[in-house]
Amino acid sequence: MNESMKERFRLQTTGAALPLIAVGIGINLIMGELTAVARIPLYLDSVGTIFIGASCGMYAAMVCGLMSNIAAGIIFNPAMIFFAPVSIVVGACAGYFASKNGFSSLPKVIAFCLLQGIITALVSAPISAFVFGGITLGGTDFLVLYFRAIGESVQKSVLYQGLASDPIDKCVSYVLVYFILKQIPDSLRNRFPQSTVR
Amino acid sequence: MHRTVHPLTSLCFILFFFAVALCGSPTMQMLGVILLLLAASSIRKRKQAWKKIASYILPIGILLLLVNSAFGAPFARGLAYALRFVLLITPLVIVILGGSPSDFRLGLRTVPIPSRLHYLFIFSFEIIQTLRDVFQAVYIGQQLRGYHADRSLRNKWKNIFPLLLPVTLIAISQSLDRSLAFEFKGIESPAEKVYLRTLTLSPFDKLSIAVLLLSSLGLIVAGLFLP
Repeated sequence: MNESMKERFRLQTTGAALPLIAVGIGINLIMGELTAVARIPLYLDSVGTIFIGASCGMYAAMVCGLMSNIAAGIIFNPAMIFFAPVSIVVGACAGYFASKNGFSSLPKVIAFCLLQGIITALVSAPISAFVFGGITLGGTDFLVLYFRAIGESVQKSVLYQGLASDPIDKCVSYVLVYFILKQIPDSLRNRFPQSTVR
Repeated sequence: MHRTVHPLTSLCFILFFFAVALCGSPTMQMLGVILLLLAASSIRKRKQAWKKIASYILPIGILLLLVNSAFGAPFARGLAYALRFVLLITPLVIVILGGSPSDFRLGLRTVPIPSRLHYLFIFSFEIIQTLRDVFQAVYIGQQLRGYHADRSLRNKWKNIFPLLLPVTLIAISQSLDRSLAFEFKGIESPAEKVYLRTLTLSPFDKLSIAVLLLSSLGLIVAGLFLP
C-alpha cells in the first residue's frame, strides 16, 4: 500500500466516515429483516456497502463489506465469513463507480450494476462451490440442481446460478441506493466524505 | 469454570480444522468431525451449538451426500463434500458460541489493528440493535398509515422505500451526532491505552498454539505429498 493509498484509507475510515460505515454495516444486516417483511425474494445484503461506497469512498466500502460479513458470521450464520471477499469486491466496485460520478443517472447505474452482478458471480462461485458444494439451503439451490441435472459440474452449476441471480440482486441494490441518495437532503449529504456524489 | 481463550488460540483451532478439511484423507476428516463434535459438547453454549449443527450444518451435509449420489457421482465424492463442509463451518460455530461478547471485546484489544477499527466493530454491533428498534417503530408507523405487504411485484418494490428510507435517514443523522463528538475528542490518541483487564497468552494457550500449528503443518504436508 503506497503513501497516497494509505492516506486515502485513513481519510475514508475516520471522522464522519467512521460512524457512517457502522451504519452501512447495520443496514446490510437489517436488510434480511426488511426483505422478510416486504416479502422480497432477494438478499439485498450489500445495500449498506454500496451506499458507503457512494457516500464515503472505495476503502470505506471495502471495510464496510468485510466487517458486515464478519458481523453477520458472528450474529447470524458463520458461513457468511467465507463470503467476505465478495463483499470487499462489491465495496471496491461501488466506490470506484461512485468516484467516476456513476450515481448521476439511472441508466449508468443499471449498466454498471449488471457488470457488478457478473463480477460478484465470478468471485462468489468458487467459494460457494468449495465450501458448500453448491447447496446453501437457499431458494437459488433449485437453479444449481437444475444445472447439475443437465450434466454440468458443481463449479459450473454454481457459476451459472450466480450469473443468473446475482445481477438481479445487485441491480435492485444499486437502484435502491440511487434513490436513497436522491432522497437525502443536501444538508446531510454535504457532510459525507465523498459529498460530490449527486 | 470456563476460561477466556486467547483469540490466537481460537484462530489456530480454526486453522487446524481447515487443514484437516484440506488434507483429503476421509479417515482423518472423520476423526476431525468426531473431535469437533466433542468440542461442541464441551463449550458453554453447547445447546445453541447443537441446535446450529442440527438445523444448518447437518441438513446441508446430508443434502450434499444425496445430491451428489442422485447425479451419479461416486459416494466417496459426496462424502468428501459433506465432510469438508462440516469441517469448515463447525469450528467457526464453536469459536463464536464458545466465547461471550465481553471475551470478544477483550480479544479485540490484543489484535494489532487501529483503534478506529476496534471502535467500528463495537459501534456496528451497538447500532444493529438501534436500527432494529428504529425499523420496528417505522414498520408500525407505516402500518398505521395503511402500509401492508402484498403479493404484487409492483407493490413489493414500492413497499421497500417507506421502510428503508426513514430507517436510513434516522441512522445517518444518528451517525452524524457521533462524528461530531469525534471531531471534538479525536479517537486516535497517541497515548498508549490502559485497560483494567487485558488478555495475555497463558502457558495453556502457548502449548495449544504450538500443537495446533505443528499438526496443521503436518496435515498440509501430508496432503500435498502423500498419495
